[in-house]
Amino acid sequence: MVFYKFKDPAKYFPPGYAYENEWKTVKFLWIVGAGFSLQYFADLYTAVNQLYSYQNNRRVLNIHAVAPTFLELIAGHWIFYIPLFLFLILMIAFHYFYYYNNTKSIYLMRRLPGAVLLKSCAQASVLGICITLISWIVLYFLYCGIYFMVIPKKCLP
Amino acid sequence: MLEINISRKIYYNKSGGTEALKQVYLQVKPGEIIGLFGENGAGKTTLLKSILGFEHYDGQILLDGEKIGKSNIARLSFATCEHSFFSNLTPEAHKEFYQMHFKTFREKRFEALMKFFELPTKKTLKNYSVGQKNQFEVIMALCQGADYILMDEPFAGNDIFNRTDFYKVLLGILEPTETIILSTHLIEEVEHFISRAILLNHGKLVGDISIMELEEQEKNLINYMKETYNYNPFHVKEILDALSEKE
Repeated sequence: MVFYKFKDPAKYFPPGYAYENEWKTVKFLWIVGAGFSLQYFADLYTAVNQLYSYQNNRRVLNIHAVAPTFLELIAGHWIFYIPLFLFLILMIAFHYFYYYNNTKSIYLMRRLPGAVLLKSCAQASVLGICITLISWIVLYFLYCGIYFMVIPKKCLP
Repeated sequence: MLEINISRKIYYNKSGGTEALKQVYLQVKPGEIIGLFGENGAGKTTLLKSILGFEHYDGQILLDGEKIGKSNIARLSFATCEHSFFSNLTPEAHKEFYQMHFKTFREKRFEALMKFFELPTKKTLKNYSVGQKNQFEVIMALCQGADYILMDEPFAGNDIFNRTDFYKVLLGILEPTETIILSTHLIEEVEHFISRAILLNHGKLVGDISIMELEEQEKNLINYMKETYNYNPFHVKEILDALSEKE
């Protein structure tokens, strides 16, 4: 899991922020998103099966059959990443309002030179979004590769 | 030099607006120790927050001729009774954080003050007492390495011995160019420690006098304030008399 590579997530969160539950939620939503994208394989399996017919209990490729396009098959399987994206965006607000909790550390953050306040609020979310997008692209190409592997060339649209 | 020219600061609310500051024109020179006085709601905190850029106002505040922004904000530090530290972090972690962000951080002063006030460096600040939290807040403001140190009632909750210690330490450690603006109600305590007194009343600057001038006039700060605010010493007696007559 790509998230486990970040040994010290604390550095991506505001100073002293109790990030553990947030980090767990991000990991959970990522797994949910990636997990539900596996539904693609069910659709792919159905699509492949429809290319064949059975003659005398033998599975025969229907030469005139045309498989759905990869884009048609993959469509809708990324929707379960939406909660993750929304949560990552919401995290920016959580981090900002943290500076008003218990103490007014916002007074310190606003006095720091440079864009430290913005960075501390947004960097975990930006990192999360980047990792999600990268994993999305990796899965996209992986699924695409599998599509071309399992769909017979003759049946490609 | 800090030049404050605030023509107006209004807090807007449902019923309209409240003028928190009006016509506050001040110059603060390096090395001054200023006491900022006024009743609750006089505009002391608003003035300090305006200097720091936390409040919008009509007018301008210049630090050595430049507007206060990201490039020179580190020349100002702030200690507030609301506390501006991270309560989940230890003083040690704060030191590292300040060193990372303020090149001028005074490590020696930090170590000395932490030792003097016997504050544990490895305990998270949420486990400090209120008095210790106040002390730490002031220590960080003094150690940031700022030229202008703004303090907003920083000793609320500290005992008299503790406060006295702080005044003494403060006078001992401050360098000639370090400037303090201290908002407080503890007039008699700080009278011998400040060099200038600024008085606000309903957002207006009603008094600005150096302690030297007061001494020349053979007045003390309390009497000067009573004169400035037209304090009526018989006010309490009048009310008590009126109450007893009714009964």
